[in-house]
Amino acid sequence: MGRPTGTYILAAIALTGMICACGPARSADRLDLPRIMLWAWERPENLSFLDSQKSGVAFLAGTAVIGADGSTRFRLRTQPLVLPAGAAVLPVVRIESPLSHAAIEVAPLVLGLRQIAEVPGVRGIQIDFDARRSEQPSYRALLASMSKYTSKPVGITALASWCEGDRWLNGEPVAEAVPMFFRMGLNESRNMQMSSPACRSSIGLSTDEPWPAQRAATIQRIYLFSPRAWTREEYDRTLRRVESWK
Amino acid sequence: MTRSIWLMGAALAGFLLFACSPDVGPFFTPLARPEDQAAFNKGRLGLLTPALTKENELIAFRLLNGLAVPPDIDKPKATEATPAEPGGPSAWLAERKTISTPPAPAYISAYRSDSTPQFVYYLNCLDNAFETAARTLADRRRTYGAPDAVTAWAVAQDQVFANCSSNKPQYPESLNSNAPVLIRADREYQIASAHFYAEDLDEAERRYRAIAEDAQSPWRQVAGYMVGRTLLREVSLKNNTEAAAKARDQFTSVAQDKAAGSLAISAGRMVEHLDAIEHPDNFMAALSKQLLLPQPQPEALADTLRQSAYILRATSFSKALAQPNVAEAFDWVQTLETGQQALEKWKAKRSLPWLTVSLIYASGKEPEATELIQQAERLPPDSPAFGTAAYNAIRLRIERGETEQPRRQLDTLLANKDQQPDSLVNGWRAERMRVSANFPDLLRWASRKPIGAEYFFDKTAGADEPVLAEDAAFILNYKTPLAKLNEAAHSGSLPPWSASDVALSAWVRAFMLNQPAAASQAASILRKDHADWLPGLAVSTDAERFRAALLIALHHEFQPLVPVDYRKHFQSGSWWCTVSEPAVESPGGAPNLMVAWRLPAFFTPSENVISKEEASAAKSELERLNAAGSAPSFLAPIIMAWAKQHPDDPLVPQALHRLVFVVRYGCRTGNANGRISKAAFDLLHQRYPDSEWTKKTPYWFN
Repeated sequence: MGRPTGTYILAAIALTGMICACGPARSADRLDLPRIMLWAWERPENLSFLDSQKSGVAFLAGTAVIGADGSTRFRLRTQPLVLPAGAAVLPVVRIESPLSHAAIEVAPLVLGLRQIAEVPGVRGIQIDFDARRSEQPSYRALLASMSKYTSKPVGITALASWCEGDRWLNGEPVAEAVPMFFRMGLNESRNMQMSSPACRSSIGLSTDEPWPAQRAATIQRIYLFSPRAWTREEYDRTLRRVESWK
Repeated sequence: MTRSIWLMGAALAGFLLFACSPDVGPFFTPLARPEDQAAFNKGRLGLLTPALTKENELIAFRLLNGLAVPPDIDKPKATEATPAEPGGPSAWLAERKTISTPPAPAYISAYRSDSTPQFVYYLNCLDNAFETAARTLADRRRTYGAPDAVTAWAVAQDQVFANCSSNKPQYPESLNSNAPVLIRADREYQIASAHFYAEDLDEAERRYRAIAEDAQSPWRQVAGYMVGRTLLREVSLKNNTEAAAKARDQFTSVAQDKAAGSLAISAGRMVEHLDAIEHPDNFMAALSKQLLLPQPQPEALADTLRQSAYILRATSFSKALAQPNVAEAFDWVQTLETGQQALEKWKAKRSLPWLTVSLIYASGKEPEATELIQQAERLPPDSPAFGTAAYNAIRLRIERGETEQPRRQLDTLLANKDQQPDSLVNGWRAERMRVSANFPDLLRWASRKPIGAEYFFDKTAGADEPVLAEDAAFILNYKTPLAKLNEAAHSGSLPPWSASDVALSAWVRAFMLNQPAAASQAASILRKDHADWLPGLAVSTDAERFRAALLIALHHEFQPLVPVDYRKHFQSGSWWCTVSEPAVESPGGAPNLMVAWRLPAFFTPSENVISKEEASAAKSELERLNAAGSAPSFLAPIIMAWAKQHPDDPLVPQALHRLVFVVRYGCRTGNANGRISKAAFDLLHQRYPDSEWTKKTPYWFN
């Protein structure tokens, strides 16, 4: 019989350790990131032109696909990503699920996310999960587990309604929730108010859409999405737009 | 960077298009997956746009060439847009859990991170490795006999799979010669595989070759195949180009081995894969040809679609795809996605696929527009290009300033729309609204059906029922005077819930603009669904205005702007910020929002729809609404004045409490928020210290 492997240890932690608090929760720690973060999605991205003093990169590291039985399968990034030296990086994991499925098995999901979050050099992890109302209990359990079993801060993207109406995120152990102001119809992106405290410090915007009429004073970090691969021109243009957004 | 293509295997079947962001909709335009895949495959393509998956774009290319798609094509794999069912590692973990001590790993990552470039992964352990392990464990439980030996095999296999993602190699121990032949052979194969997944390729190759020579090993055939895979990884991971020829020889040898069974087929595919890598132009040309075979086997066509879609996504083929003489199917899909040189290519080829893609990207200002329109209008309704061509030809006519002809054409199309997908009908309705003859005509075409609503609503009934789209909301919000807004609400042309939204907007505007009669008109709709609102809906006297202000403070649904939302409002909303008209164009001159394919959402309606006088009135009202400011700024003077003059009104404490609440949850960009909130807070606490509303108001906000 072979000796227990690291995987066994992780499994043991995941399966039995959830009943004990094993240390301070870390996922709600602040994310040490620049004020401007570019989302680098599932496509080749050459961001060597980035000014790493001003901006960082939140790159899609992979997708966790939930199966009908609640199990999880990861697909990780296979597209090239070129970064300037010293850039602050934040891996993003998108969670996708079918319309109906059994309760999500949280332990494997945590372990997969942990593998990505613990890669040396990354500042934390951002989870991108458009959880339906029926999935919110599982999401809460996932965030609670992440707070126990990762040493890195955990941020999430948030549907704007979570920040304004449902406010179910209040009290969850997340470093930041980034409300996504994308393609939300004619008026919402101009008038939406982020009343949930978790959502006030950051915002997600797209380069090809109007931004809210005014920049809330509480916004400390802006995440920027481009529908196409980033270029130096697009980056410079977007920085100027951020500068002029008051 | 050719790693991903070398490690094709499961990847060929994998890649889904990611949703780029958590959009919530409503969406009115075509999505990545056709609304009715079966109808799409039969040639009812609807409105083609680059939003489609690459598989569906390739299917469209075949159909536009006049070729059918077999009805029993492998749809789930060919057109997959929903998450796949778990397989691979799950199959192994399920079998592994039959052994309780030591416990099975909770999770196995099949990906290994790449050190250069950073943060990129490759699929190290393919699905069939896990599935083979699961089958082997089940088999060895029967054939080993001894439970301890089965457990030892499973533990060794855990070590093998630990190398899938770990940078710390783990190798099972060798067994001594006393061990039974099968158990020892199994262990040797596990050790070789552990070296393979740990990227110790020289040692893996040496061990696989030894196993391939071992006549007693049940793994000898597989090991021969794995020698080829090891050599392939020499190329992809170590840039050892000389290994490619050796890999080809090895796979060819296995492919020709009659005893190799299904491995021979796999080896043959690996040879094809090497062909693709070494001669991508030939490979793409062959796939393009296969896509246009008149009567392909369903499985073969599905496989061609998968491989072609993979090539379109794989970065390792990007150079080959950029060549000017790229095979037609790939050229067409790339043109559909970018529009580059669409017109030139149509002129050169003069075929239906190229006419279609030219129409998609043409502008009404181009000299070729006339010919494109003529060609489009000759297409019969059963042409797969009919919907796309009809929509875009009419778009070109509208861009050229025509109204009468497009209106007639659209009326005919919309009268015969039954078989068409909703996203196409939405596009036609948007165009029809653009060429409205008058205001009632505009209202008739203002609503659209949300596409893909079920995704966000867990199949909530009614979520996909028609609602106002962005273009209609823009006209009603910024181009329509109050009197016409009331006309719209009462017209009967809007869906009931949209009519309620318009009535709410009209009532709030009437209140803000001090037009009690108009408020009363709007109220006649509101009170039908909300009898409890009735006492607050009159706005003539100061007392009524106070009650109306309290009503708004209690219900953030009261908004001066008509929202774009599902019937079941997805966004719950908040109290309004200062009303101002959005910019029609971005600083670069591009339209800020599209309501359908290349059709801007923001436009100025003709004078037949909104007369000059009405437009002037709408503009004037908009300025006054803007001056009235945000909800807290508008409500505060009304509530505070009444509270000071009528301290005994029992509703005053609640109104002061709500004013603090509105500042907290309402528009927080107003400079006066702190002053408003503190004034209400102070008055509440000073004058009504024992009120329940005072107890519910421990703080003020800015």
